[in-house]
Amino acid sequence: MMLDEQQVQQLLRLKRFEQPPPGYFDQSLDELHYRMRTGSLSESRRNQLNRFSRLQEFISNLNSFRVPQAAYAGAFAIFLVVATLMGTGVWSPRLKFDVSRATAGASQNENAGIVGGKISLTALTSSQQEIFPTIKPSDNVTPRYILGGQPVSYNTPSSF
Amino acid sequence: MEDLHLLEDEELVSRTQAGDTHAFDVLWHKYSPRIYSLVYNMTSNHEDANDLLLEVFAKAFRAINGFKGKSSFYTWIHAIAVNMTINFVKKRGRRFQMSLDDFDSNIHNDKEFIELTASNTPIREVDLSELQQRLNEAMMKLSVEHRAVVTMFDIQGMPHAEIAKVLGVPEATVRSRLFYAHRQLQNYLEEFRKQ
Repeated sequence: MMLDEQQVQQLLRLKRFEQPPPGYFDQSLDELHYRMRTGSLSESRRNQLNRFSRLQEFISNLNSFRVPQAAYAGAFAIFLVVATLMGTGVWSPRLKFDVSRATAGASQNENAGIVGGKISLTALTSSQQEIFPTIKPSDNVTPRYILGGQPVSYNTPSSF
Repeated sequence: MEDLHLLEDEELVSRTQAGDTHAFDVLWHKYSPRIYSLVYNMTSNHEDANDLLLEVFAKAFRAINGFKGKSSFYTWIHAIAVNMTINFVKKRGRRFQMSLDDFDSNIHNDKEFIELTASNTPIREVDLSELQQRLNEAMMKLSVEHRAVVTMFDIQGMPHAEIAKVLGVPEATVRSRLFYAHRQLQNYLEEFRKQ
């Protein structure tokens, strides 16, 4: 035969006698005052801790992150397409050259780039191909002069 | 000097709302033992109960300006305590150890205790610490919602209607939870029957 409901209730009521140590509630009042004063502070600290724990969780998720195999295949396919387009000349990542500006600059001066003895090369064009200046000459470099279609330095001492 | 302990709860609450923290101290002295009992019997752990008790009152203090007096202060703070304890127990999960308070020595003079241990009852003679251990183990086997109802009804002696207000559920729900919890406890406490 089981205990009846009344006996169970009698047993449960004995739990009223489980008590904290004497003086416990008076002593805890100081701690309550402290929590009441620092309530808002601890709340913001709790929020900070929550954010920190979320960050930790995010980082731990990163550590366990595995790149799916399909991603490797996708990246390789993209590489092939880009390589094909560039190889066949259908698409080039270089900026378009402003031909009209370059020809206008050249027509202003017969020497096309030599101004006042200094090289001011900005761009040159040939008949078919665009040529980009990759090195801009320094102003400190002494210009070389050409006399009679032959550089002066080519004159040998034996001509005296 | 005015004795705040003679004031009604409504007056103490309105004084607290006006910034008088001494009025809130009186509310603490009045209700902390009952709130402690509620939290302790739902957690079976003194340290957790201590921490939760302080958090409940600190939260009530911060939220006191939002208290409009639609229920009694006691019901309101009870509801805060039950909700916070249920959340705490659910987060804690199964990782806990019991840390029990001692039985008050007055238990030996308690009429019901004497009746229970009398030779003509079906309950065998028990060692007090064993009884305490078994009672708490049986309580912890209940779900936290059932434990809350058993604590408020059987241990604290609250009426069904008051428990329903605290939990925000119909009285019928309180009764059915109690019925189910008592059936469970009858099974768990079977070993206390005399062979």
